[in-house]
Amino acid sequence: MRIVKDGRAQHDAWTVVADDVPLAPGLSVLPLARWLAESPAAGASPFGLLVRADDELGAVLAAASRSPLVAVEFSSFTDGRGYSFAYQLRAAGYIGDLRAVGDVLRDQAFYLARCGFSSFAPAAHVTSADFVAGLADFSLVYQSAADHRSSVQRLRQAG
Amino acid sequence: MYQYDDYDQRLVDERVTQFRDQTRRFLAGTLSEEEFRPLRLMNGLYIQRHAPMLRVAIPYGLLSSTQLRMLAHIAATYDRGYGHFSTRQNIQFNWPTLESVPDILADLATVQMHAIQTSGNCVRNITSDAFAGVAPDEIDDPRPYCELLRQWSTFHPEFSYLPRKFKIAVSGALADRAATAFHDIGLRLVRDTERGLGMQVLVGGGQGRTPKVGVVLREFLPLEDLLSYTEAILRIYNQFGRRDNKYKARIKILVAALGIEAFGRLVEAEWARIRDSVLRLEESDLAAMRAHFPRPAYQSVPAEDVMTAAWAAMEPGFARWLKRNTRAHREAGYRAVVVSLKAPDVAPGDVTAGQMEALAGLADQYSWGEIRVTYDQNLVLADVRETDLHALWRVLDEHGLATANIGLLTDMICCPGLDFCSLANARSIPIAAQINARFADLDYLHDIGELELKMSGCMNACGHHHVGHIGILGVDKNGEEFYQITLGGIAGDGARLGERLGPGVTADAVADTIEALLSVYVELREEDERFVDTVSRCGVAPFKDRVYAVAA
Repeated sequence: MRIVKDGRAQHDAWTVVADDVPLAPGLSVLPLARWLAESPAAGASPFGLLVRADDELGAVLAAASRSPLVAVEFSSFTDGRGYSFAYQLRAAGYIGDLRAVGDVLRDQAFYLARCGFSSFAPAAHVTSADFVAGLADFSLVYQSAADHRSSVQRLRQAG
Repeated sequence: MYQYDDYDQRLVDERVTQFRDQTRRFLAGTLSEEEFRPLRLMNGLYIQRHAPMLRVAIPYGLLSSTQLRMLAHIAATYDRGYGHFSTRQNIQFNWPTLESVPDILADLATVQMHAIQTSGNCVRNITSDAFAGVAPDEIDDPRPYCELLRQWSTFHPEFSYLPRKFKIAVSGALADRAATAFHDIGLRLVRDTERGLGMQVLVGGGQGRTPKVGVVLREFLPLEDLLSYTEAILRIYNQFGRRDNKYKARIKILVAALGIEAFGRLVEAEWARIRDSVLRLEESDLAAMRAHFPRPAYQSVPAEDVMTAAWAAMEPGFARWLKRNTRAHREAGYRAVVVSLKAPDVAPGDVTAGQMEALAGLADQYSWGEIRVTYDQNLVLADVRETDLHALWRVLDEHGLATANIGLLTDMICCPGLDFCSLANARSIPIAAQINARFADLDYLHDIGELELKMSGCMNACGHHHVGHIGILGVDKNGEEFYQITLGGIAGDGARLGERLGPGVTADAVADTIEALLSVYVELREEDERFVDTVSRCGVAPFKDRVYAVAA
């Protein structure tokens, strides 16, 4: 899929596979129920995990720890649950690639990155260049988040 | 008051740049209306009945004279020469053009102001007590905590697309003048003999279609945990708040659905995880923020001024104003002055550019260059020497800002209503005018005494009718406006929702109805009993009988 990662446009081999589409060879990202059905009972799974806003956090965290990629789906950019999923995944120690997919737009890029997303699949009408620009909307932050940037308050303390 | 450093200034400037670009893309057609909408709302910009409406943030209601002059400039340059102060201590401009908004924001940024998060499904302006720092009953100044919360919540990456808007109020005094029980989170400073200073945390209060009185989530929160605990609440709300129905999306609905114990367990579990993190406020953090709100260098002046008493004896108008529009101050020889934005011929909360200029000058002359906005849509000059009161009153009076009605019937809270707002079902400003015309006799109003009348033009309840001693809600029934009356609501201490009187009355009958209610009160009241206390003691029934007997 077309993604933005490490601050630049890229393509990678991952494909989000819908529930009713047969599995094909290649790197597949599966919704939680299907991910559980297709993955081995224990140990690393070859499948990426697709997290939807209604998924249960505990089940997501358990599956994520065995996934090479976690993609959080935004069915609408106004549904902010994906931000908390990303934060919780990072807080729980998930260190793999965490990707925002779906209605992923330029004007939310900065916030998405701060919540721990490491790659982004922008919506079709959003150019990669615009999305990359959105990642730099602000040069400072007022609060701690999953990106571990020093907040303004801590910068002040440091002098 | 809090002064921006280079960090704050850079962030606000970057916001202006960001919004200018978003507006440009919207006007160029590369950003859809649907995509632009939440972005403009998070900059306080609504598309209203006649024109866009821009809501500018006044953090916890505190303004410098320089900022007030800038608001006057914006009213004169981009609007029709006036602004409207809201119940959330902000100011609204009703007539700017969409294209001019980036320029307005750039002007505001030059005086450390902005419109960030004054609307949208995010953490809104933190509100507080307009008498913070000067009230004799204060436990601790709430403003440093408000500012800490303001910074923490500004551009919060995780909580900018919440299920619905989120309002926080902080009260630092024994009396609750910030309506903390009617906010998503209400924080009340408390002092505990063993644990020292902390906060009582209320959650799930609010008005709107499903009004709720906030419930205590935690009796005592150490101050060092203010941000971690707030973050825990927001995270639980963001994950579990309903998103399928915007009328059921506020945190009050989640708290009611789960029950306060179950909701509290979720919050405590999340809090336990993040409590010992960078969110913890060190004593040095608190001290640094408190240093932004120093006590002014008050002069030592006599507790009671002989000349002020003499003027009051000579001029009944001044005496009345002194009694109604000034408040006790913690410092001897000083008073806090409430500037009435409730003149009979003006929409409640409206102020002209000229009045703003005049007030900025008076603030510089008499009150350390500071102005506060109150919850009930007035302004406050908080630090006026008693010896200056008469001179101040004369100038305020010249500018139509000395109506001696604070706390009285005509000191109404009123939303803009159908005249401006695209959500409204009924007019509210003309009803306010009708009430003002009927109750023009100040002696009568003073006899009736303290009475909070609050009016909304629709069930969204921006005019806080649920918590009015008399509440008025405008509704539309088959194209005709009706006004439902509630009695006995209380916004502050002893917070409760008003009780519905009966069927709505027609627009032309509102003043008659209020007159009937007042006549019952005058008959039933005991000694110094306030209207709302008579309602508590006697119930709604005697009022109902009179009102509907008149109608029949």
